[in-house]
Amino acid sequence: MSPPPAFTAADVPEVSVIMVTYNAWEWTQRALVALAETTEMPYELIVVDNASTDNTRVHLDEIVGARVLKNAMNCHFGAAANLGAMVARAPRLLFLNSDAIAQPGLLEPLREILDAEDDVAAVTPRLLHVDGRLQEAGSLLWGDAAGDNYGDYDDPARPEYRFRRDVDYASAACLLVRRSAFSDVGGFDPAFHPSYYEDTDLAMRWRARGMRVVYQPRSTAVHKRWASSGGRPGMLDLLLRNRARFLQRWGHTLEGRPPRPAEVDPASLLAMRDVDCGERLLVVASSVDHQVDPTATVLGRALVPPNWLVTLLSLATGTADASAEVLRARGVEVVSGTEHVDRWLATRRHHYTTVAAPTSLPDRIIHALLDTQPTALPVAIVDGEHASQTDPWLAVSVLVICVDPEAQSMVEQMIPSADVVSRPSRDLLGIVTALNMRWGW
Amino acid sequence: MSGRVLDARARPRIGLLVGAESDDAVAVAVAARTLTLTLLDRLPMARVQYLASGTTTVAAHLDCGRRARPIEDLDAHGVRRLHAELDMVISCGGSPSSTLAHAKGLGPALLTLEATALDVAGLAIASQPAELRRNRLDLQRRLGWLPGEEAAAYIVADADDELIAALRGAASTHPGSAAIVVLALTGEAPSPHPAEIEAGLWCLPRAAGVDELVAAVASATAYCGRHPLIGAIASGAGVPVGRDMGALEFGQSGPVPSFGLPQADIERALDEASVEALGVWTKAGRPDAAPDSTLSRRRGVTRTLLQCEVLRLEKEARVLGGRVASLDEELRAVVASRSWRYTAALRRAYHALRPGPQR
Repeated sequence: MSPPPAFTAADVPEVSVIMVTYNAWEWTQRALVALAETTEMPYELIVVDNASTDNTRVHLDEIVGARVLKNAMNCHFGAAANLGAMVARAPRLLFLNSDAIAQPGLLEPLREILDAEDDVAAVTPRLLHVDGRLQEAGSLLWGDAAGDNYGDYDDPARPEYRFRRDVDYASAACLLVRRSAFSDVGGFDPAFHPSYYEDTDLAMRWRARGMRVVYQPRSTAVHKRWASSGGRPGMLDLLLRNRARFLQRWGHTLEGRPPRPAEVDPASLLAMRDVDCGERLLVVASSVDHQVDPTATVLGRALVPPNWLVTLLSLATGTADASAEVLRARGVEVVSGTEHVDRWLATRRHHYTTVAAPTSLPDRIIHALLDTQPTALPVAIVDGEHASQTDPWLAVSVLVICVDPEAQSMVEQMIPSADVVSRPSRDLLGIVTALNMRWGW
Repeated sequence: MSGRVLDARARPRIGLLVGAESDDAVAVAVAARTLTLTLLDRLPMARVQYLASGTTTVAAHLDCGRRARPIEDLDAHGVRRLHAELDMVISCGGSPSSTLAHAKGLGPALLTLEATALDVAGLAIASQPAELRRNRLDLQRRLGWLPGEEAAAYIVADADDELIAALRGAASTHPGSAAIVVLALTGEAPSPHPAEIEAGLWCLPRAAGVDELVAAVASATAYCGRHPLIGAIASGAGVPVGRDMGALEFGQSGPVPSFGLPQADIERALDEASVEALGVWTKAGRPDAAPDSTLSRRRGVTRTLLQCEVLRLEKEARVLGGRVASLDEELRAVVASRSWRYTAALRRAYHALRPGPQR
């Protein structure tokens, strides 16, 4: 077996990587090698060993440049992770399971979000199973405190897993955390010792302080589930005990959320994913590329605000990847392709509060929009040249946004019943917010 | 600490400059943490950052994630940036930095607390939320740093070997009901040996952070030692304090000496600082105001419930539709049957005699 990798503890680390170990050295070694090979920013490694009984301790002694703390007994994950955080020197903590394999470019996109938004407490990457299928794109919490890993065993390339968004909570298998936020709420609560619900409880305590947990799909880690904890007997009992404890503490916050159904279908998962999104905006465009279709530009340049869902449905079969990635990084869900639009819309029946679409849409798309989103506010986006009084989408829209400000008066005369505003004075998010305020939604 | 929330959603940016003239890193760390928790008690979403003036910085493992930001020797751009990024600066335990003094009237509001780091440490236990303390005590017990709740813990700091030996002897006469906890404030302290734990001697290692230290002192039956910081923390919350074995007379509570800490004055000053920070932040047009997530959540939850209800009804409609189709089929089969046709005349005669709905 090859020796453990060598690390160089930075004098002023940007990140403190905290790894809790308990046996399973083979996975720990893989995790350490991946960390050493893929991490470029200055960091320090803190390994907390929970009294491993195999050869893990012998190998940990051979690691150069890491701080190894050896517990006299198995304190389990929460307490050991707290101990690691206590001795950390960096303002950010990366909790990395000993069975989580960092993929190239893991840290930088996580740090980008943490540094840019000071109400973000933690950022979670996309977790994959060893076979490449998705394990978790953030997690969902039902009214009965049951949790679901969003996208478990699904294709990670699906659009619903490729945009950044706020999540209810995230697994601590790989989680970048603002250390001050971690300290201020007291870290993982020992009340959930030895395991289960400590990460969920942490996220809820942040939420109570107005802080968020964000999913960053541009970062990826591979996680071998249960490799580091093993299959403990009595896991189910423990899970149920801590679930009851969690519910006792946070039941009032979850009040009103539906309990987890016996059979969870994609529509229920979607509804739960967006449960906190009071404003849900669907923008239809012929292309993601704003140079091809100006509709995409009405989204503006700002980040999608918390508690919003913005979906861009591109009718083009091929996506302009660069443009799509820019939008996804800002929190816009980008879906493309005309082939299955009707079916896709049917999976999101009644999901949106506002639908913004350009004129000259095919009839079947308009019918599908009106059929599946009958309660949504219809908004038309026109560029002036293609505005026509007989356009069916324009006829049903209560708001018209002119991409070309000079066309505003012409459109006002054409559709006297609709409100008409012009871009670029305001972006679509601002316009919808203003509308909601006016209409008292 | 009682809940004194001024504004649950306000996010003013507050800088803390603590112990500019102190060389006791632990005392500075305790004071900084105490001020932070006190401010967060009033403004739970405030963004607090530590500022460092001169050579003193908060020790990394004690800074609770807020690495101090140096504010000396900044160029003009750095000063402008500092001013733009803060609504309020609270300076404690030394004169405010020249960078901040020059900012008078231009930069953030400046409050100078006329108190030392030790004075502020007197508020440490009161400022620690009960939930955080429970959490930290539980953690330390799991890590084997503190005895269980059933044992009376006597905290010791700055103890020499002679005192430790005496303590060991005293604790061993009360096995299980009394424990001595030695605080390792300086130097690398080893974890307690199991034999020592059996003898009632525990050790809080140097790795322990401020929250752990304060929680341990708060849970103590008494404190014995000469360390002024621990004395200030303990006496601030009424934990009996003594300088020698007299404080550890098991079963007896010693007197609580008065350090004459102006705690009420500090609290009042922090109240005023919080109000001022809130005012500055509000005047700036409430930038970065936290969205009212409760309103949004309520709408989102209502929508989700309705969606789930729609899904349920759709499923129910599909099931009912299936049953209707099946019944229709059965009915068609009955109507098409030979017996139905042969008995039609009889049914007509029957209904003619008994008025009622036709079948």
